[in-house]
Amino acid sequence: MATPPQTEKALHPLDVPTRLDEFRALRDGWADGMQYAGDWGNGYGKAPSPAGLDWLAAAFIRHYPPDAPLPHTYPTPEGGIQMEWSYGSNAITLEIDLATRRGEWFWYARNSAAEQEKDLDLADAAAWAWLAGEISRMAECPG
Amino acid sequence: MTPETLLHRMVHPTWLQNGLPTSQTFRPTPKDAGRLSVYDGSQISPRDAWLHFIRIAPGEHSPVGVIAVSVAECLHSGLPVQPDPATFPEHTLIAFTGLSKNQIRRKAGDLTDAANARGWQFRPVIV
Repeated sequence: MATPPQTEKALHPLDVPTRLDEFRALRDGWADGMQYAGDWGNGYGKAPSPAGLDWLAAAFIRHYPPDAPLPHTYPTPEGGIQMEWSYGSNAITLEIDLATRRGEWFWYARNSAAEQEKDLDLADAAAWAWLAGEISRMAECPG
Repeated sequence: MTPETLLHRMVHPTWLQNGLPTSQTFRPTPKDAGRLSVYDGSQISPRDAWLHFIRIAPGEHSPVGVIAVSVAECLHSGLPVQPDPATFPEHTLIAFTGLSKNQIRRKAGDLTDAANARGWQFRPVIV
């Protein structure tokens, strides 16, 4: 019997390093039009630094467990990256500063006033472990 | 403008992944002094708002579509809605003034949830 041809494993649609690669094409001013309309045309949106994107892709691959739920990943006008997860009443954002390698975690419950903020040192593997643990817990019990 | 009036907001192409717009779509930055620009749907259709936008906001990236929240949804989140015709006739502001960073994050999330539940108001067909 002939061996079936080997195919590359399909990437997950939320694959983070692939998504980060897309942001390398952004130039300063990329978010013009998203700001207050009186300022349209004046340039808005700092491009994420290539070195910062390299660092984040490497840190994510190295420290975020492959079986943990993947985020939606977006650039921010400040030149950073925002990751978002949503499970039932749980809404989570992680705003990442590529220069300082720190992240601002913010969780809130859509159905109550409960919320939590936490500053994470994303150069530290322990911060990624904490993050993956929280996300996995909420994904399993979305509330 | 009535409580049912829809307020149209453009979606940047990088702020859409796997069909889901980011909550940043409805979040003003500190540079904006809490002012989020939208189009008054009682004066302009989502398609015409998109056409107007690409004519006067000459950014490198055209919006991938238009989503919307109602005036009532803004007011329910404690966000006043203020017409601002001096900028252009259909221009309206959702005012996030006097709020903490986390309050802004949360209210922007509420608006994004409402807009995503409503679905796309307009998507350009690019051939």
